[in-house]
Amino acid sequence: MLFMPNKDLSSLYRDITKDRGKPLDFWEVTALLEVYGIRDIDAQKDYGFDDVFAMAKYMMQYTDIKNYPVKSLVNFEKVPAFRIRIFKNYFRGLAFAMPMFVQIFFTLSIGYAIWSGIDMDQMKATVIAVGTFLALIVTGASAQAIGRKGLFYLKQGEVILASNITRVLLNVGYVFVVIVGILLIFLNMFFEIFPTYYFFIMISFYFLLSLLFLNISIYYMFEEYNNILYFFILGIIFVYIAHTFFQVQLPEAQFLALIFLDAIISFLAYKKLRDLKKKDVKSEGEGLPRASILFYSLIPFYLYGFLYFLFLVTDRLVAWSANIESKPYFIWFNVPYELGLDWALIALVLLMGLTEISIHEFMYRINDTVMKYQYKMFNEFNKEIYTFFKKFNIAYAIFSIFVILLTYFVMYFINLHGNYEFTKDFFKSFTPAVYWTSAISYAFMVNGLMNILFIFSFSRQNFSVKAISIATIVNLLVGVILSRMFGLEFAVVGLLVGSVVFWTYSFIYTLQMLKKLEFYYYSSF
Amino acid sequence: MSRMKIVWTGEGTYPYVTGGVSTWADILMHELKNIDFVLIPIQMHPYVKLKFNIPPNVVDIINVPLWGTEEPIEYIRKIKFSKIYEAKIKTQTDKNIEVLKPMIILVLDHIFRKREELDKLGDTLYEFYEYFHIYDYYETFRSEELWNIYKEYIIEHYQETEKELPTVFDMVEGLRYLYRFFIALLPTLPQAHIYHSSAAAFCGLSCIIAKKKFGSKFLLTEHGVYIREQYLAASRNQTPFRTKEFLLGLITLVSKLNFHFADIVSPVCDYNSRWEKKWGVDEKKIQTIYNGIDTNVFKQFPVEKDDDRPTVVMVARIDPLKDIETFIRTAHLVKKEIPNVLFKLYGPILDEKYYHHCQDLAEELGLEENFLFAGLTNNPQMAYNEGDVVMLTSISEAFPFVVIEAMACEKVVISSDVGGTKEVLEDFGFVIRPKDYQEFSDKVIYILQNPEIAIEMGRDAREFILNGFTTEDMVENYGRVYKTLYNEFLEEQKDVVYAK
Repeated sequence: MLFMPNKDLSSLYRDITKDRGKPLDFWEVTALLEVYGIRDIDAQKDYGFDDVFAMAKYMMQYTDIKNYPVKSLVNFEKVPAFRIRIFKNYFRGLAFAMPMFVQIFFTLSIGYAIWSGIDMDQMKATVIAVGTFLALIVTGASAQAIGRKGLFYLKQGEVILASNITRVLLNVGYVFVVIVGILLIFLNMFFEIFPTYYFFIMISFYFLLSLLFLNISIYYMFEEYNNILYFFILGIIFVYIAHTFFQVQLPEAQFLALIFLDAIISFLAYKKLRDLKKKDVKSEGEGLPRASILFYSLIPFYLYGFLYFLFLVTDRLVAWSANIESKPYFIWFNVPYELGLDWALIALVLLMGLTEISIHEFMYRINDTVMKYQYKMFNEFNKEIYTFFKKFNIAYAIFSIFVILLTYFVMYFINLHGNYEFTKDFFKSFTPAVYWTSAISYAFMVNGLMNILFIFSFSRQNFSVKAISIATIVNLLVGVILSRMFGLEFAVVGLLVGSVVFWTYSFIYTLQMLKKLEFYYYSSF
Repeated sequence: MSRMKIVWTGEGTYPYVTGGVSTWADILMHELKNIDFVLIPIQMHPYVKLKFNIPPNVVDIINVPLWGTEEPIEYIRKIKFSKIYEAKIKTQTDKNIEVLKPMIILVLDHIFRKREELDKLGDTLYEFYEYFHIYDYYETFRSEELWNIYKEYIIEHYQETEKELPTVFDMVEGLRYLYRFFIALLPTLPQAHIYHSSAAAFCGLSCIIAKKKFGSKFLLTEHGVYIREQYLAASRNQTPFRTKEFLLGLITLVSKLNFHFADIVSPVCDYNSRWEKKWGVDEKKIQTIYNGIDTNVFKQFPVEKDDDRPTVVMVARIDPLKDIETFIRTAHLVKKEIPNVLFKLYGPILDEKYYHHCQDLAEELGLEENFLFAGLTNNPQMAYNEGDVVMLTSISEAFPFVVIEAMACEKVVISSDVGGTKEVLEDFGFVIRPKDYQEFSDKVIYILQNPEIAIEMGRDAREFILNGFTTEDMVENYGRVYKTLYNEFLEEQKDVVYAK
């Protein structure tokens, strides 16, 4: 070796490692020297080494002379300050639930919205509600699947596949809707559950709302919550104009609004998916999975979506079918009960904002913290996230109490000091009791949802199906027993107990995950 | 005698991505019509279209996407879903982790360079292959039992380490890498005489297992230097130190396994064997087989040009490794001597930031009239023929097609001295120290001012290419190697029969 002792190559070292991570060994330094343009002949003539490999071995002495950039999982430049991001994420979460809020708000203020009406006769109200519930339950499954799989491809930049798979799943959703619709028609034909006219209302709402819910699930997939809100407002305006200026009765005005909305949203959703394919020329659109594996992987989402909405409507179905001897049909809309629930839904909407906060804050903290703790300190890493989880839940509990009280007392003060007819109804009968019970239920349920979101993000979706199915069964059983024993309003206790069960299950599972978070973090592929 | 059957394996190339390796593979498949090929392309994900017309002698393609799937196996094995489901249930109930434990530990010992028993490790890979034909891969790797085995190992391994302690992230990433890359073990391998890997990479694992299972012969072609490329990628990505340690430990192990089990290692230039030998490849195994080109396509022909300006052409993607800066700076110096010179760069933009930097540099040096980013070309022969000189300023290459293509077009090529360019260009063009734009410009000026010399050098260059670098030469050489290995296989199989 023609080695010149004490040759200072630190400057060269800095050059070759500029914007690079710390070299692992001399092989890496060799590779860096070579792409810098140093050949064996240069290592010999200019630096006095046998070859580049020998030169690299010599230069390993410089590895500690500088600091090296390390790619972080969190792009700190893009992460807003804590208060700003809490605020932003809260309103994002709120936007998710805003369509529901708008529906309730207009129902309570002007007396009707796209699929509800306070002043409708009870028969109509019953069948519309049943049609709505069926639409939610049947499409809820597909909506979850579309959200899951569409987003899966979108996040990878595979826009063509996102478009294709969404269309496939949308079509599957339509098929479900049609099959259930046909079954309902046959059921009613054979058992004459509802008279023809009312059954027609029910089945129309069922089909029209199913189409609406399936198409807006595409907007949910794109996280375009604002657009969904605008669609709903548009629909309500349409109903208002038809009903107020053209004297079209309800629910006919609502039919027209739904037909109008369905036409627009279907077209726009179709265009959105089609334009997705034009957007990106890089993705090539090959490689849709096999149907069997696709649906196997989506089963938990289908089941969860179906059961989630079933859970949400169970207590209503239980309440409206209680004490049925005095009612014309086996199920009968109950205004005081519904008012209490709708009132509580306002609290639910306000709480939904926290779901976005929770998932963002958890992921941000996990991705940041996982690179800070030494490998042996995985328990400390788990504990740090668990501590945050604890704090978050305490904050959530306080906030939910505040929201529940706020929602009650706003209405209370409006009723006390305002002169609005509709507010009086909230304080009649068992409506306040239903409000308190269901508001508390929703508080548990939303917290349970946050836990489920957390569990989903670690690809452990099978558990969620277990949790929601047990909760639904408990909801049903408790509701049936108590409502039959003490009165229809006690069906809401089923919702409460079911929500608590849902929350408990998800909470315990989340705690178990947090104890072994390093494992669940690893296996979230 | 039955038709020769060869399984070809690759990573991120043929038949889904265009490029030099893919072109090479496509030529072999099309020209060696009497051989049945099965392709096992390892891909990043399954979302890509075929980029080549697959000839009829390619009898099957077994895609192996590493990412982008919910189930690793969904694209890899054409089996009924009920079988997949059965394996899942079996794995969930009893994955027989005690069998797996010593195998994982052996792999980890090798990744961390505590042991070197490559023969034993080869057997273990075969055991993994058998294991994952019974148990579900996804369920196994998602199991807590496997995680605990791995975690205990990592904790014990770093017990004495004082510097650069790994983080929880580093620990997690290690097993995730193993999960990802061992997906390459999942395809059900067809019986074949020869397994031909196009890199000393994960695509070679099938070749090792086939050798164990069927006694297939293993041919390894190295187009680049896989180990070096992976070191550079990890360095560029600023991968955390201990994550890098695991990743490169795994990659270098896989490369060593390839080198160890290959019967013949055929780099595309002698330069590649430099790293191979340092990593322990037995020199006796090495047989350089140069890439070849179609000299009926790449030849000199007149090209209509808008003007008669002296033109220097480079065909290269816009990427820091191609060192477009040096090309631009060369243009600046040449312009001083030849004011109407035109430097044309044909190539797609791979790095937007770098592209804008190059644009700014060209503007800064006042080259608006003398430098043109001409974009992607599907007709490189036309591009070469537009030029009076062809340049290549790369700071890293293996054996660039550009050089031999331009030589075949009777162009004087002035290239940086990287990879195997010297092996082909030394007496027929100019080989310049990388980044030395002064030297580049001197040679460009010399050639542009001496067109007769350029013509003579160009003719000699083509002559040289015609004698060893044509498609026919390449195909013949691979055919010869295939035949050798095929005969060896038959001999060995005869011995096995007699032994039985």
